[in-house]
Amino acid sequence: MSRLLRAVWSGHPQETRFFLIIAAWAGALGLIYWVGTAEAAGTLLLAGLALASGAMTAWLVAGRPRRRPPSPAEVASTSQPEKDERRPGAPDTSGGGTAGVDRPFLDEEGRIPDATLAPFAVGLGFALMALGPVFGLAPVTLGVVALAWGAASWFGAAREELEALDGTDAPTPSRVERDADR
Amino acid sequence: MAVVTHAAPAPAERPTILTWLSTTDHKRIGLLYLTASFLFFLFGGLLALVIRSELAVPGLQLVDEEGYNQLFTMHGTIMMLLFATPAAAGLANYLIPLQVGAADMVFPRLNALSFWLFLFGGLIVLSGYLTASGPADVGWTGYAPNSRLPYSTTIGTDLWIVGLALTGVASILGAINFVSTIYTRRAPGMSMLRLPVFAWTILVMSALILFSFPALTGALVMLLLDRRFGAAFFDPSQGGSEILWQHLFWFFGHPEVYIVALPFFGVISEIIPVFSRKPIFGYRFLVLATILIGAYSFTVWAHHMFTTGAVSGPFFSIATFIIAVPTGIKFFNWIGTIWGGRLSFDVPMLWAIGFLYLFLTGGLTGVILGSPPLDFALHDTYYVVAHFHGVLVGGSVFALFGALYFWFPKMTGRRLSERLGKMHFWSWLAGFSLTFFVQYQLGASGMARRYADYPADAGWTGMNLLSTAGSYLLGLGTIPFLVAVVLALRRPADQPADPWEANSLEWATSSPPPHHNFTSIPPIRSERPVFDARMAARAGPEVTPS
Repeated sequence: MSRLLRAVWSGHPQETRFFLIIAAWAGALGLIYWVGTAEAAGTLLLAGLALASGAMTAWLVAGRPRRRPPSPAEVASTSQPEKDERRPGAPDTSGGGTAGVDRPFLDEEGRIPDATLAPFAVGLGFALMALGPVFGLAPVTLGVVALAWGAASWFGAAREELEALDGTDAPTPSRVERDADR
Repeated sequence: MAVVTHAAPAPAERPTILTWLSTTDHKRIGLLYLTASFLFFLFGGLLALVIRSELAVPGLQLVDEEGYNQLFTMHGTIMMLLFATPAAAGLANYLIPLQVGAADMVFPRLNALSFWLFLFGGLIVLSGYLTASGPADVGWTGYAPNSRLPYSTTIGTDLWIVGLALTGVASILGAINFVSTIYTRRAPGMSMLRLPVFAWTILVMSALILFSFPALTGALVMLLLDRRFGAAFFDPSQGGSEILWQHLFWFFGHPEVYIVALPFFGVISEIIPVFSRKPIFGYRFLVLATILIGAYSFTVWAHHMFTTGAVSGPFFSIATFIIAVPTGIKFFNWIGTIWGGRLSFDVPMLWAIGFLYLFLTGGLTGVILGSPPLDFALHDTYYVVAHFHGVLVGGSVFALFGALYFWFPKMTGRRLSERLGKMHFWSWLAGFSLTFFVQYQLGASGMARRYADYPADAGWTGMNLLSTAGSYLLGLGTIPFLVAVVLALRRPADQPADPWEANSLEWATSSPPPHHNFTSIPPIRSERPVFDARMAARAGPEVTPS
C-alpha cells in the first residue's frame, strides 16, 4: 500500500498531498453528513470545501510536471548514508525543508528584504477602499492612491532582489522549483 | 562535540516609528501583533468590567439596553477576533522561524501586510465608537435578523462587517506564510516529526484558518450586500435564509475555537517539559491529537444550532463527544510529562498548571452542552457564558500569560519579576474562579445572557455580586503584569540565550536574537535540539573512532 502511494505521489510537492487530504476528508464528511441528516446547507459547505480543495489539488497536479525518476547514478550521488554508516557527530541533513539551508546566517543580504513602507501602504489602501460601501467614494480614492504606490514599491523591490540574487547560489523560488523538477 | 553557538546579541539600536512602520522582520512583526492584540485585550477587558458592573445588582445603573448590546458585542468581538487570534499569530510570528531554524518567514512583506490589515481592520471595528449611533450592537456572532436592516441601523455594524472582513483576510495571509515557512524553511535535520509541538499546532491552526475563515469573510460580504445594496441572502421574505448565516458563521466559528486554542496547547506543551525536566510524554500522540482536533473541528459546527431545530442532533452530538477524545489525549500527555518530573514552579509553570485546571473545567462543561436535551435547557444562559470563558480565558489567556513570562527573556533579553508574576497569577486564578464558577449556577437556575438587567426577586443578586467582585480582581490582577513589563524594560538586557534550560531551537540563539536569527544551528537529531546540544556539551568532546 505504501509502495503504491509512493509511486502515485513521487514527484508531487507536499502541498498537493495537503490539499488532497483535505478534499478527501471534507468529501467523506459531506457524504456521511448527507446520508445521516439530508440537510442541504451543511452538506453544501462540506462539499464546497471538498471541491475547492480538490480543484486546488488538480491545479497543482496539472500545473507542475512530475519529476522524472532519478537515475541510479543520481541516486548514488545524492542519497544520504544510512544512519548507522554516518560518522559520529556528522550533521544529519535529512528531512529539512524543501529550500535547503535558509540563508542568510551572518550575511543579511538576500532573502531578508530591506525595510519598506510598501506593506503598510498596501494595507492602508485596502482598508480605505473597504470603507467605500460605508462612506462612499472619498476613502476609495485615497485608498487607490495608497495601494498603487505601495504595490509599485513592493513589486519594484521584489524584482530588484530577484535580479540581485541571480548572480548568487542562494535558493530563489525559481531555482528551487527548477532543481526540484530536475 | 556538539556546541550551541550563540549569535552575538543584537546591536542596541533605537527603533523609530518609521522602523516599526516599515519593518519586515518577523520578530518585530510578532511584537507588533502581541502589543496591538494586548491593547485590544485591555480595552475589551474594560468593557467586560462595565458589563459586570451593570449586572452587579438589579436595575439599570450605567448603560441603557442599546448601550449594553454594544458592550457585549464589542467585548466578544475584540476578545475573539482582535485579541485571541492575533495574539496567537504574534507568538507564531516571533517563534516559528526561530523554532524551525529559518532566517525569516517565507514571505516577509506579506507578513507585514497581514499585520497592517489586522490592525486597520481592528481599528475600523472600534471606530464605531466615533459615530453618533455607536458601535455594532448585534452580538459577536452577528446573527440575522438582528444584524440586518432595519433591526440594526447603526453605522457601527457596517464598520464591524468591513473591519472583520479585513482581519479575516489578514488571518488567511498569515496562515499561508506559516504553512509555507514550516513546510519549506526547516533547518537540515528537522523532519516533520522533529518539529516543536508549538510549530505543529501553528501548522494545524493555519490549515484551519485557510479552510474556515473564507466562510466568515464570505458571510460578511453577503451581509454587507444585504445591508447596503438590497440583496436578500438572509431575508426569508425574499427567498433568503437566516439559518444560512448561522451555518456560515459556525462553519468558521467552531474551528475558530480551535484556531484560538491549538496554539496555546502548543505553548503549554513547550512550557511543561521545561519545568518538569522531562521530554514531552508521547510526542507522536500529541501531534496526532493536534491533527485529529483540527480535522474533527469541521464536524461540530452546528452543535451551536441545536435549538434552531434545523440541524441533526444525533450527528453533531456524536461528533462533539468524539472531539473531546483527542483533547483528552493531550491532557494525558501533559499529565504524563509532569508525572515523576523534577518540577519547578516558576511563573510560566504556574500559568500552565492554571491552564490545565481551568481548561479542564471549561472543556468538560462543554461536553455536557454537546447533549441536545441538556443544550436545550442551558442554551443562551450564563452556563454557556461560564463554559466558553473557561475554555477561552482558561485555555488562551492563561496560556498566553505563561507564554509571555516564558519567552519574554528571549524577546527582550530581560526577565519579568517572579514576585509580580506570582501576584498576577494568583489574583487571576482567584478572580477567574470567582467570576465564572458562580455563572454555571446562575445559568442552571435560568439567568439568560445578553440581558442588561434581571428581576430583583430571582435570587441571583448574591451570585452576580460575587461574579462582579471576581471580575474586579481580574482587572486589578493585571496591574502587576503591566508593572513587571515596565520595570523589566527599564533594565538593561542581561539574559543568556537559554535562561530556562529549554529544548527547542529558539533557545540556541542570543536573547534577543539578531536580525538574521542564527549565526549557526546546532545538529538537529530530535525534537529537542538545544537539550541535545547542552547534554553533548556537558558530556565533553566525543571520541571519534579512527
